[in-house]
Amino acid sequence: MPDRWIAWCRRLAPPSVRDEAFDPSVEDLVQAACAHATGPGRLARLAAGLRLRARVLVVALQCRRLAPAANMSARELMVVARRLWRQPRFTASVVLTLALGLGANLTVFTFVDAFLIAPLPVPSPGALVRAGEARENGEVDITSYLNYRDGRDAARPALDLAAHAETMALVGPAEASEARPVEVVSGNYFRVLGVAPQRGRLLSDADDTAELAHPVAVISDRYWRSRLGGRTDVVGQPVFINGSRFEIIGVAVGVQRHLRRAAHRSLGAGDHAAGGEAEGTDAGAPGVGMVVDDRPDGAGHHDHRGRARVVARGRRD
Amino acid sequence: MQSAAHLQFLVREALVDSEQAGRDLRELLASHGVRNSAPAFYQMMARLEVAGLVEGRYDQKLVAGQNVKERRYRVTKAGERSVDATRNFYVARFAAARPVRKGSHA
Repeated sequence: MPDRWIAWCRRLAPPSVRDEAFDPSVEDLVQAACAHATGPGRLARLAAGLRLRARVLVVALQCRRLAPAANMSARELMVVARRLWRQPRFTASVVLTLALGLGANLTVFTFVDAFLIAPLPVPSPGALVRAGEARENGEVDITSYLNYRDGRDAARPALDLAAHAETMALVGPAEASEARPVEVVSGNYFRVLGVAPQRGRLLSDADDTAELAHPVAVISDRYWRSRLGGRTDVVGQPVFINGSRFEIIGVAVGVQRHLRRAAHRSLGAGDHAAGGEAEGTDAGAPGVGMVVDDRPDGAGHHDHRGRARVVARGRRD
Repeated sequence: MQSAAHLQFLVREALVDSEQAGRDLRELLASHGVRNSAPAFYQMMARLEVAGLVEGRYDQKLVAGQNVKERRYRVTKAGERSVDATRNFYVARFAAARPVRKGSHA
């Protein structure tokens, strides 16, 4: 009796009908085969065995066709399709509900992904940490520009601190200006982030040291394409921020998803002109956050954060 | 209205008199022109067992020197009541039915 073949075919039958249908059916086959196995010849026995194996396999396949789960799911799908076809209003409401729900979820997830999940679009996002000034209650807050500058000088060369402050400003000529978010940054901001310019150049430390020099700005790739038409001679063109004229020195590529800012300018170059006169000019005046760059000295991020806090605490008042 | 399908009624009526093997029941159905596959037949018997209308058991027997198992069925009390109710329903309907006259439906 081909027990191994029967056991293999039994595994083909779905478990839901295996005990009820497969076992008694195969017992019938075996009983019939035993009753008719009267041929003495070896060839006859071989043929009878092959016939039995084939019929057991057919029984297993028939059991698969009988599986109630598969049959029920196909039948239910047909019923659902027919009902939806006959009730177009109900179908439209279902489709509309699903579209609205999926669209809302997709929108929320897009924002969550952009702001919370996706890594920063910089070469080494893991090497950056945010730093701030330690308060007496243990919280970390933004600090003044002078405190940042002292902390930056004291932290070198182990750390590289960059400062940035977010604000809204009227960008564009007076007759067609629009309120857009801008970011006031220190000269080493782009170097700390490791961002490369798409056109022109980015801000550098020299833009910080030139007090009251002509104001310059770096525009984002999105602003360049949407408002300036992606013109190739954008470098050197003026852009008006709060009515003051800035010279565009470059376009930053790949930072718009992270920064979502239309323009960047150096603190030392034009802080008097962009509506942020108080920011970054007086010690104790809040307004700037800090970004710390990793240096190849083997120190971990937690060490950097602790060092930055210590530096900031030492310069308070 | 009776809910028993004609195949189920046929099987249960055959089991009222005596316990029978699945093979014999299949031959009985085949004599009425019903040639279901073996898995389909035993699936139907399993549904009757779940409904409590028949009881099944395996019987060990010796065939041509080999031990084989045979599934044997017998009807339960509930199955007998169901057969009686179904039979009475159709008898009553047959008695109440008016004979169809030739050309009356034209």
